[in-house]
Amino acid sequence: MKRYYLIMFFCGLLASCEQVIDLPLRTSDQLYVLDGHFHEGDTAYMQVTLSGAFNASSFNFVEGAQIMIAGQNGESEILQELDSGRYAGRFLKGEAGKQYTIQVMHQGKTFNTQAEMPAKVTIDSLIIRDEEIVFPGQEPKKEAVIFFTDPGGVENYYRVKFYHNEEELIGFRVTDDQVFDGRQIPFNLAIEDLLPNDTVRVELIAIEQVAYDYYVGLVEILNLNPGSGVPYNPINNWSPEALGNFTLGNIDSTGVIFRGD
Amino acid sequence: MNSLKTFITLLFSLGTLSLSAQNFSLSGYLRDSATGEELPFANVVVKGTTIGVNTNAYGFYTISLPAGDHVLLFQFLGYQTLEKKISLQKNERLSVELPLETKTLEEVVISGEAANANVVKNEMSVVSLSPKSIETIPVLFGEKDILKTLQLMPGVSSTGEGNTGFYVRGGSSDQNLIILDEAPVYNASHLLGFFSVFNSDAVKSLKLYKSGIPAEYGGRLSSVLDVKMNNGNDRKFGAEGGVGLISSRLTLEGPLKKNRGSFIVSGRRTYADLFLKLSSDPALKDSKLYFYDLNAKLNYRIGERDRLYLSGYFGRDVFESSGIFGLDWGNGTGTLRWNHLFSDRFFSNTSIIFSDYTYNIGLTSGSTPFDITAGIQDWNFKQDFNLALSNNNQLKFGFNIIRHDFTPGTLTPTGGNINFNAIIVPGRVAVETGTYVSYEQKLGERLQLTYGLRMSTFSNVGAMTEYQFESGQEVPFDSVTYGSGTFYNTQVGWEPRFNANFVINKKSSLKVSYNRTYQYLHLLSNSSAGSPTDVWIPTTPIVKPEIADQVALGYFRNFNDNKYESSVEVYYKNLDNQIDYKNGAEILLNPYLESQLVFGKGYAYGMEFFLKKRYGRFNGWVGYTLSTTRRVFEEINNGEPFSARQDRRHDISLVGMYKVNDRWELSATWVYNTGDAVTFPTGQYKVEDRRISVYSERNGYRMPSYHRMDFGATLQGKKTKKFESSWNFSVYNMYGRYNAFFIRFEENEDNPEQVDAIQTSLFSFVPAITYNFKF
Repeated sequence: MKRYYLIMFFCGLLASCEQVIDLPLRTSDQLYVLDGHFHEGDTAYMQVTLSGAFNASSFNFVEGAQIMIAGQNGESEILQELDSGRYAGRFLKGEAGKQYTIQVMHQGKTFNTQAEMPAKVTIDSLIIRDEEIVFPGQEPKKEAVIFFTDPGGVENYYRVKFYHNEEELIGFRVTDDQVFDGRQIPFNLAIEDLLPNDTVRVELIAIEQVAYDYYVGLVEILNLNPGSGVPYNPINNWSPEALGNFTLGNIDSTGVIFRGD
Repeated sequence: MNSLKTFITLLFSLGTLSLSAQNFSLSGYLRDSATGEELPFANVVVKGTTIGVNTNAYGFYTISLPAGDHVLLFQFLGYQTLEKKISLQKNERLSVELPLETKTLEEVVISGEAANANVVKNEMSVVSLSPKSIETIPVLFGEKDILKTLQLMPGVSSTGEGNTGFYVRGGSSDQNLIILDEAPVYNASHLLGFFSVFNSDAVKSLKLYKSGIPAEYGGRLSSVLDVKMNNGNDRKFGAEGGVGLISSRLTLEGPLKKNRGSFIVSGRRTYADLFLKLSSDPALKDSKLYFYDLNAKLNYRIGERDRLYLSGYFGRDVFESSGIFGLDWGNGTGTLRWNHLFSDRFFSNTSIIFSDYTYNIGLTSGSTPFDITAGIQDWNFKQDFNLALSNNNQLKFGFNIIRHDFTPGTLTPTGGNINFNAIIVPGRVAVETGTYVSYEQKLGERLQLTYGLRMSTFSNVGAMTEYQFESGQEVPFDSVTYGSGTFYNTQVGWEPRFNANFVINKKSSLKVSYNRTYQYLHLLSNSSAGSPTDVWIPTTPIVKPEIADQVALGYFRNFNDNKYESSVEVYYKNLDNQIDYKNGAEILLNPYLESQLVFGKGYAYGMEFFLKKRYGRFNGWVGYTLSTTRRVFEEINNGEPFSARQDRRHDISLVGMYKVNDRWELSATWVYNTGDAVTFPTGQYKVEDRRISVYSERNGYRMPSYHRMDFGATLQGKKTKKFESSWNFSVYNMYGRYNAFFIRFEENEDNPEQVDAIQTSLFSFVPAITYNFKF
């Protein structure tokens, strides 16, 4: 991002130009998209679709798939098909520290993954404050900041979701603990149009490394710039190759009501 | 030390022995009569014969002739040919000064021997340029740049719009050895590549070897770009400079002691950021964005046999955004050289060379400010000998030893109210050596051979912990620790070099070359555009030395009394131990960097056509390259060969210069190339209601083809004895084509269900004006 900023900054001074172009793109073989999650204390969920052409009006749902989730002690459950390629569990609930395997079978194809439910990391505090870094010319906004204490000595990965008046703010936001191992980590997001008495809620989801890599991959695809490497399908935990990821997460959630300045 | 002395004495006597009894040697320097600058690779020919030699890189020649009277021609392109009668009765010294060719509107007549140097020299795939010869070629922002002109030659292509980075015959941009007065320049670009570090006022000449790389050069796979700095005028003080759209430059030069030594200091600074102050956008107003560079050189002759040179370069780019974020980077180089003549036939050059590249990134605002620094530093000792055994036999040999210090990156917190950990990726030390011998031989009138061998070595030096990784794993399963000062993982490379020229007649020749090259340093750059934060790493137990073999064959033909020169060359290049990246590779500040890399092969082949009109009111050239460049990695594209980014099938350059009258000169260039190979989506899917692209093949698409025309006009001011000036007007991308710099895919703002392909173009129709002066 920094590189992109620098290049565009310089070019912006000169004569850069952006235009929407018509680019003929080929369509590769359809791939299964297996996107699901399983949180501590909750049942499993998955949506199974197929990839399609670029800018296809809709994507095909996969119906009649058999999805089985099994815990390390032999407990298991077949997810129930809802609608639109969505499948959900009813009984088996995630437990921190436990290994799970998931198997998806459809028309003779089988996809597998194995994952571990991370331990919960709790949010120490959530505050609303004036944005800390404001570039000149930008309207200063409010930002929501959570602080949480990273368990030391192990690698931890997190996904953070922000809700403004219970509406999720779009974007995949993740962080690791590379420079914060064992320390308190701040994580902030500027919130547009925050008014007094609005609510802000934040979910801190402890995830595995593969899920972190997966979300980083999604963010890179969504924000390609001249500083990006060669684009690729995000790393995930499916074998053989499929798109999407089955993310095991452990959620801590907290909220505040914005009282105004 | 003693054994070295004995060895040198032996070689010297060998040189003497090989002379026939009645022959004497004539030796000396060729210089520019106005400035005293030495003229490298100039010709010294016995009139009416094919007997001749070239001056070496320092402008020194030795020719051996029988006793008696001879008429010698001293020739150098762009200079008047000088004819001298000599009567040789003993070994003699003759240094000669050539005046600059006075350009007239009439065609300049140059005698045949010099003009067909391209045909008769045993040298192929070589481009030589001097800043003088490219003065009028239009460039972006009017900032003349030798690296951009180089890209107008066949086999050399730009890494991107307006960029000074270049690819040579399918090699990557880090596979070019770029040396300034022998010191490697690790990042030869300013402002993300839009300008090169070579201020053309400070540059005397450059020479690019695309193949047939002589044995004295080593360390990179694909090419050598040897840039020499001006020595400075040892006759009189002078100044020259220019005021341009985005930068100004000033050069001062003069004698340290008349005819003995001189100095030159040349500086340049851009002031794009001064204009930012005028901007109404506060984000721009409070930002800094500039670069500067400074070249300086001293040289001094101590007696007839010794000469000292001290040259240095220092340059830096600074980018700072509103006191929030900063990035600066730059090179520093220094070279101390000592030329010594053991005898008229035995020339020696000893150099101590320093080179340094660093960058810093700083976040200076917020509660977690930090600083990142990284870089590379070299100390190099180099010794070259040049022994003229006879006019037809020359021996070159030498060695060098380099200590490389790598700082892969450290991140340090710089205050702030939230504590976090520093990241220090351990620095590395390595020692690289090169030892070479090269023999140049003329066999009869027609055949010339140059054959040599270079032995390179590379060792990692402790203290260091080397990690071992299971394939596909990012965390090591084992490690080995080496003690401080321990040499380990020593690699030895044998690099044969060969050039042959068969002169068919005065107008045409057939040339062939082969070279093997080793590269022990690797630039990691996981981005499509090069970045100052790309990091150089050494060969390690996991990262093997890159190896290339290239064969090239060329036919050279001149027409119309050498008014036109042309050549066709074909080449095939094989590349081993090439480096690419795993998906999502993290290069910056990763102590397990090697786990992010994958290794494979590459190959490139092509054909280059070149036609040049050299003299007359109208001159210029046409270059065309037809080529293929592929890479093969087990982990990428299912192991199938894929096009490298720089795989451009067609590449065309047209350059024309027309002298209207004594004051006006017009010029135009046109370039065309096939678009870069690029990875675009081959489908789409949805995750959490966002449309995500599917990628299935590496570099399976092409960017739109690139073409552009530039136009330039130069108006000479009234010349007086003491003062010269000129105005240079140019237009970059004259017909305003929106060439694709980058294409990204973004959800349409009004309809998130539609993803648009958005093309960014950088420069369309950029006029520029520069004022140059000299006194």
